[in-house]
Amino acid sequence: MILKHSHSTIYVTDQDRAKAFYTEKLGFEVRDDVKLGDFRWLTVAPKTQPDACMVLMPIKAGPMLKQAHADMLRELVEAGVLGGGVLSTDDCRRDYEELTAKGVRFVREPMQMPYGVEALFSDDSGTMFSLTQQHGSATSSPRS
Amino acid sequence: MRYVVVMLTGAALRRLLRARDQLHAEVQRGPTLDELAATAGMSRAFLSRSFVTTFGAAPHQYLSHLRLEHAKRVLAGGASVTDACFEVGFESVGTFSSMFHRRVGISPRAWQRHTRAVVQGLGLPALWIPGCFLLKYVQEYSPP
Repeated sequence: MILKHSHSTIYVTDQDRAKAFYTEKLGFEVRDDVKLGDFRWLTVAPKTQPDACMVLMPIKAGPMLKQAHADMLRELVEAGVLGGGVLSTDDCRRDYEELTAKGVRFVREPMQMPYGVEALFSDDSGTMFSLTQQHGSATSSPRS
Repeated sequence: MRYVVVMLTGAALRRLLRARDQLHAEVQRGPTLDELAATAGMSRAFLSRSFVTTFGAAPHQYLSHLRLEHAKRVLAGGASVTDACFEVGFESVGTFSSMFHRRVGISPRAWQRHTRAVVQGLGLPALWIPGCFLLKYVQEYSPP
């Protein structure tokens, strides 16, 4: 039985710039940053999620990625075609204000949706994320 | 009336993260629960409950996990079990070894033998880098 999803891939056009974006703007922490020859293993994650991370993969040709495919992939990322997934927040509108002030580019402002409040932003390479505050994300509540 | 602690949000979550960051920064010394509570500006009980809700483990369990992961890296680098034990903040080799065995399933020495064989045989860092990433980017890598 598959239990968890632990690593997801985010293709980035510049690993140094991406590292700065994810840590300094989004507030993620670096989990791994090591070099293996020309290969750089760089992972980041929200501090509140100990058992999962995003792999910030450079777009470059390798044993299983032809140069032509790498070029196509870069074009898709930079065009904003690829989605990176959903990032959950407890307050979408607050984060929208904070991230906008830090220079994060939002594709769509926070909107009330059937499932909560959602905004869309792009990372520094062009990958789009949903920033979602789901209904029911609440603080401590008393129960008698 | 009793309170059900759900995941903290906003300013309270940020204060909790400060305590969590203190654990990371002082993994060898191991801050006390009182110190962590002071850092977060919370009572010991509320901090403990919030920690479990947010990170899935109580502060002392979280610290043990950090120490264990640190110990793995130190052992993979060739340090003796005794050196690894003290390096990560344990005061007793017996306690360290039994906890390692309980959590990892094998003794520190056995883990070191196994890992160094893989690390040295394939020239890989002692890190969890999934093969799907290595296959794509590292020419020399081939699964054992």
